Amino acid sequence: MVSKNAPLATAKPGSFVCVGIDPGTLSPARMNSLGICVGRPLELLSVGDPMIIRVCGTIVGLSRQLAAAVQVAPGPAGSRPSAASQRTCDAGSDGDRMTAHPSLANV
Amino acid sequence: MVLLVGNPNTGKTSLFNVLSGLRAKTANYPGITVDLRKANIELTGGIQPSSGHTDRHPIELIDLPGLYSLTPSSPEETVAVDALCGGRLGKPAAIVLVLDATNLARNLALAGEVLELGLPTVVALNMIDAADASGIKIETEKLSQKLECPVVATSVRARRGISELRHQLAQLVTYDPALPLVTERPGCAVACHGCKYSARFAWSDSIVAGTVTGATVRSRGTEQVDRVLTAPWIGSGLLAAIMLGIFFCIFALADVPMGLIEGWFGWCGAMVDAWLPAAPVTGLVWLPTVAAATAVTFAIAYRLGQIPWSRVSIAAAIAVSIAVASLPQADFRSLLIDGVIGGIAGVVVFLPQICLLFFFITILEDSGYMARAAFVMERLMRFVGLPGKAFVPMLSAHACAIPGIMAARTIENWRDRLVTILVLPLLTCSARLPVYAMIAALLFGDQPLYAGLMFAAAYSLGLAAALLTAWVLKRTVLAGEAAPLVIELPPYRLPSLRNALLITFDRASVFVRKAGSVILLISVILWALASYPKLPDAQLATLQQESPTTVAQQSLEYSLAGRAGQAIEPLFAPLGFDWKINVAVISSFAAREVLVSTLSIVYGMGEEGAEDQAGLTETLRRQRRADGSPVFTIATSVSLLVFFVLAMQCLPTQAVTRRETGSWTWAIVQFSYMSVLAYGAAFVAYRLCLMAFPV
Repeated sequence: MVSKNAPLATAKPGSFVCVGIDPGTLSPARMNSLGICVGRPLELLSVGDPMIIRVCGTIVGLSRQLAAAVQVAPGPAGSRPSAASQRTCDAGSDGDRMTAHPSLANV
Repeated sequence: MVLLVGNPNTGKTSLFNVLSGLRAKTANYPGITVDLRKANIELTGGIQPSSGHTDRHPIELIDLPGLYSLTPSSPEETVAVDALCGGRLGKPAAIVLVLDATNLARNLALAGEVLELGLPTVVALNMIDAADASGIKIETEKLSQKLECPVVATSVRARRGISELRHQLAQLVTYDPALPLVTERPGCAVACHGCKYSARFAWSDSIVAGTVTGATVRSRGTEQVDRVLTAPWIGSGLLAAIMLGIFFCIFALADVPMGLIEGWFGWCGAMVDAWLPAAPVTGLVWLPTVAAATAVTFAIAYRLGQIPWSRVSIAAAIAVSIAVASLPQADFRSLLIDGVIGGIAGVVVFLPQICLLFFFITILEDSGYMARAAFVMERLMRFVGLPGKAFVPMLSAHACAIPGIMAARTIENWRDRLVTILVLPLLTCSARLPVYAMIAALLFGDQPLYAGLMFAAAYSLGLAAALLTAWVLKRTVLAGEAAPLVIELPPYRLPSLRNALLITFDRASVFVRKAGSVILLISVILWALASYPKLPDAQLATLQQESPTTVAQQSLEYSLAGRAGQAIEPLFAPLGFDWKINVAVISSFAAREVLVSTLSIVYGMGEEGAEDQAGLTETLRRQRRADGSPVFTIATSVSLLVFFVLAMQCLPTQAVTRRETGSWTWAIVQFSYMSVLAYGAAFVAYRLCLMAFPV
């Protein structure tokens, strides 16, 4: 899978996998604990400042400033956004985690 | 001690309320101004009903603030983590881990961290009814095996699993500490490469995969509603409409109880006045009775304010009791009616507004709308360095700064919270309205349009000053941007009336206990300042032949407050105030609305003058300076108005600022900058008006 990394702030609605968070971000712990962390899928629902994303079953409002620090790659099965995030949220066991998130290899 | 832990929006507080009944009380976490709700409850049952003893196990249940992970990012979360790790509260006996059954994937990430602490834990799989309704099936047994701790499916709304949870908890707390406890918990250690959170979520996913079937993605409905509620223009418009509605309700609904409270305290004052013996009572009876009554008052105040009985506090109580007992009878009457009853009335009169405000805010929070409101406001507030969440406090502050400052707790970042608290009292609260009304009557007696415009200008000046101050603070003392928004937009839920009422009651009692004791003390001090020293007897005798109002006027002039008013005349002369206005301004530093009644006293109208708006306005208009020019010129009136819009004249607010920021420093900073701002702006306004309308 050829993944093209870009900041979440410039992305269009769709499914992504988080591949990196710039160090020095203002509140990484809060973002991480909500599920925005490396290797995790997320879905951009609506752009703007702040933007609305779905991570791991919850909807989160995220300021564009923070979104600029989140590097994302197109997620698995980008054509079916909600189904994709459901699948990765539910299905990943430790064994198939690496295959579920191929972009982890980029980190 | 049993801790209730969980993500925000998991129904944790409702569960706490059900488990605790009405026995909950709010206590301060030692050293930090974070309130925790605690309840002492008794559990029955357990593994080893200790031989010969009753089968009851008293526990202290504590509702910890919601948290997302054990890496805290707000004062509340810090407290929760500290308590979990056996910090200042000591090692917890057990933990009730509350998980939202509708979103296990996210909730289990925290569960993993908490389980690794190795404490006896029972999992409450809360809101199971909502999960059932949306077709989520969770195999509780399997989950229990995987988490290696008991799992109870609960629902507060449907009253499911509550007694089972109690039973499991009883088993946990009666567990013999000598027996080996399962401390080897499954955790992220299985795959700890890369981001530790990532590993946790992967672990949580694996658990979910093994135990949950059915839809886990939320219905499209929420998304559709969100699309409207968070849209830039529609969202802001709706927010403004909702807030205006709430505000209208608060003013409309609080009016009647506030009138009743004022009336009731007035009646109390009259009763006490009639009941106290007018004829001199022998000291043998008077002294011990009054001293005992004062001591009892102290005991009640200490208990309410949770002040410990130390050597100092006992000495203070005894000294004051003796001092009060040795007051002349007439002075004691005045102290009781004007100082104590008046002071308590000044606090309690705010209660209806505070209760209504907290009630509406809790309902909005429970419904899930508050997160959307913060989201919408984020766009506008960022410009001045305030977070979106600051809008609820700012709105509340237009009723009264006190609930506004208390509502600022929802702001996670400490800097943002502090900026919000510092600028809140600039917003026009309802206590300023009597003053605005008086000045409007002075300036535009029979022109309601201009009076209305003046009100609007005063409100705008307050708001502009608050936003500007926030911007200046962002550039100077509290440099830095408001923390960027990361906020969970929880699913919409039907708010629980019971929960809202409980929280309202809780907040109201915090206000009365903590602010109340300080306010009472301060109002008694102010009473003393305005009453002592007394006029010399000879002068009093001549004055008494005139009218009681003259006595009141001369007494005030002779008192410390009156003398202070004259002493600071040079200071306030540049604003166009004379010494009589100064006395009123000084007294209004305790509470602004006092200005009107004090002005009516110093201008010889008597206390009743304040009720008679037209009479007071006429009296004020007639006032002349020594050189014969009128006192209340346009310039002086405008300068007085500007001063009142901007000045920090509210001791209750100061007491609450101190409480919420944890030190007098910020209360003093707030007082100082607002006084300087008020003085400077009033000076500019006075000079400009003098140029525009030369006398």
